[in-house]
Amino acid sequence: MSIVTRKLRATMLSLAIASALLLSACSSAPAAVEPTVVPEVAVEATAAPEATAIPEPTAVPEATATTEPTKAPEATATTAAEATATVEATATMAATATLAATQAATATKAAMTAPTATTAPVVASTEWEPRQLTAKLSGSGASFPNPLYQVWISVYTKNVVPSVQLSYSSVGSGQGQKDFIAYLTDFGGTDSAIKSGDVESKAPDAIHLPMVMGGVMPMVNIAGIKTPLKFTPETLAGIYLGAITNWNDPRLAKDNEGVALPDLAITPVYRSDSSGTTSIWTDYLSKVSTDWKSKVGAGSAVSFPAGIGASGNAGVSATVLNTNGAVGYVEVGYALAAGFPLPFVKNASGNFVKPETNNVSAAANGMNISSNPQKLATSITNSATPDAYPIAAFTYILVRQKTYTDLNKAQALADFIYWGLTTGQGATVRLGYAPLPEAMRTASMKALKTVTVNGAPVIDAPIK
Amino acid sequence: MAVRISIRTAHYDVEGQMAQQSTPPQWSTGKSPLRHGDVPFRAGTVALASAVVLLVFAVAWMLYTSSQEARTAFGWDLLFGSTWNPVETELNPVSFGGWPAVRGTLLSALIALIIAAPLAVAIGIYLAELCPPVLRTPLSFLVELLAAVPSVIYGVWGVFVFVPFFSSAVAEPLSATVGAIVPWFAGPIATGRGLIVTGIILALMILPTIASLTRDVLRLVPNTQREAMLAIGATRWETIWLAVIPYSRAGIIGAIMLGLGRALGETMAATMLVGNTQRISESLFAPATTAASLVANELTNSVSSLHESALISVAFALFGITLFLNFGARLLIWFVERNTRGGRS
Repeated sequence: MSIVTRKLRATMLSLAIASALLLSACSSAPAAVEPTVVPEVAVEATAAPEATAIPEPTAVPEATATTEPTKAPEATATTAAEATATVEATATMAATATLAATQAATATKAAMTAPTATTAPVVASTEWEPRQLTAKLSGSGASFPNPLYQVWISVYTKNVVPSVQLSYSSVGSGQGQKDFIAYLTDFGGTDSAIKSGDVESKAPDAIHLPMVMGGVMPMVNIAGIKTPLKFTPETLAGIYLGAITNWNDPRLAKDNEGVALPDLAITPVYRSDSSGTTSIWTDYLSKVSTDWKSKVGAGSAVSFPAGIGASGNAGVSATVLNTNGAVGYVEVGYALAAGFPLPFVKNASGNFVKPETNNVSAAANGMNISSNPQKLATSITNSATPDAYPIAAFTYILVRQKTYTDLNKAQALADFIYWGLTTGQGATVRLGYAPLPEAMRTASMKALKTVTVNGAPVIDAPIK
Repeated sequence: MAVRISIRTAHYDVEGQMAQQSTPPQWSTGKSPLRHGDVPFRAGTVALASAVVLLVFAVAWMLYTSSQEARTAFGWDLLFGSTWNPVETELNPVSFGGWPAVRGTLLSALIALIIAAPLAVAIGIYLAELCPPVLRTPLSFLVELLAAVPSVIYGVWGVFVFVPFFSSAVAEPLSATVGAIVPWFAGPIATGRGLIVTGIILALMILPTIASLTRDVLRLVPNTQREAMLAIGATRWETIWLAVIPYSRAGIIGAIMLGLGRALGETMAATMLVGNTQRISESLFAPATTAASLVANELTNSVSSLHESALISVAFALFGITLFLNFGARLLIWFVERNTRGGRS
């Protein structure tokens, strides 16, 4: 079940992106006839959506070191590279689009270099190109970031470093950790940190690098109600504990004035397969409800006191859609792709916040980032930031700090991860993820730079 | 007297074999057996056949050793305990009781068997004995095609078509009336998913398997059996009931057991339809879980090594149940064959 739904979801997401990018590519393709105009057109066409992807400087006080001019061209390059790859991918499907795609590709290549050239005095010190290394890298782990990683891998291996072979299998966080600890993979993907005891005993040099953020949201199906509902930590915990069993419960009605909540039984839907999504959800409920903490606890699979289990995000959403009065928790990216309205959840500061990208990113603001590269993994649910969406989490890539033996491989991997932390962040929003806030992104880069092979650092790239 | 045929059901791959041919022909005593490829052929088949046996033991051994941790920690509670809680909290300690899963597996397979077995045998009888020749080939083909439909398709159909229909047309009225007295049919029906829906879909899945095997078995009954009955003035029904069915009883039981095996081990459709909850409810309409779906759901991302070990124990239990039922089926077939020696005509 889970494999099928993951693939389905991945396909759905990538189709959505492909079509969106095809549209934007079509609009910029005619301009490719005049190469001199192209860079500008590309910048204009792509800068607008990108602006939301890069966190606002005001939201990230730590970001003052990063200057505005360096970000703008980089953002353009991101989207350009993205567009190129995906356009090429779609071109293989639609033969007629081949010519347009090739034109767009050359155009965007020009776009990638042009802005850098014009702003050369500013970015000269931060210029970084992935090394053209030949290596074969494999990873496995969390299914949550899988759609993003697949896009990254396809862009990276097609357009950035064609000589590198990358693979990521979506097998679940737990299996990803096991594979990584057993040295079966070069890197792991996980939504939850390796247990502290296990880090010391099994993987003493493992580093969790935050790559991207995601939120989990309640998805509701009540016949006739289309307005996004408002939830508080108490009502969410009450529903999943089986204490709130009817939609006309006064506790729900109090937060949703003006919405005629019917006399209808609530059916909570949860993930039957153990998953990172459940980890995030139960971690949040454990933080906000002492009842939940003492009775159910947090983990990738818990004993839910009420409701019904369905496998995968797709299974949960299908069950919710089929059941009048059902509520289920899914990843925001999935809900967006499936076209669900975003609900409001009351955060720790008392504000009702929707799981919009910037609100999810905001959950990581104001947190204490450890200077120890091995201690980057933290729970950020129920964040104290006023505009933070409270049910959010990082997803991590696991790398080894000291025990890589093949320098070439380690360098190729570090380049890919660095690329994902810089250029790759541009692809996050379109896929329903939230980019890392500046402080976390730089912390992640710093941690990446501590990776060594026989004492020699594998990557020397600017923190930008 | 009719030629006696023993219908062998080795591993339920029903095959007819003439009694007088049951001893294999002697190996060639020619001067160079190698030249005819006899020795290598024999060695090859022996090796492959023993590989199957080894594989079964290897699987059993893996299940046994990997479930060691949970078995020492929980013992028989793994099979008969009713609390499944992978995460330790203040009020609820970690506990792995597999009874909800084992119970769900047995109940859903039982429901499937009760529904499917009589229907499938009836279909098999129709196809083999009563169906006009024009219809026989296309109908048999369609039944076999149904047997080949992947279970996920039954699951999808169940989720999107059957469950909504069943809950509004059957489950809700039934729980409102009968359910008030009989706890088996008690409400509420929330999503409609539960043991009974799973059982019905499983019945649909195993129906073609049993039906097509039954047909094959019945076709193996020699025509002299029928002719003899008809010659003494028996009706169609009497012929089938008294001469054909007793002859192929062992084969039909084998076909049903093969269906049961499929129902017990079905994972995909069960996961999609059973509701996946570890709570035991008397009502068949309430969500439940099965052993196969529990393992499939939680193993990939297990919380701890104890959790993983407990899941493997549940898989081990499922393996044991299947083995036990197969053994029981062999006994039953042996018993039935012994009692019907020489036919009943």
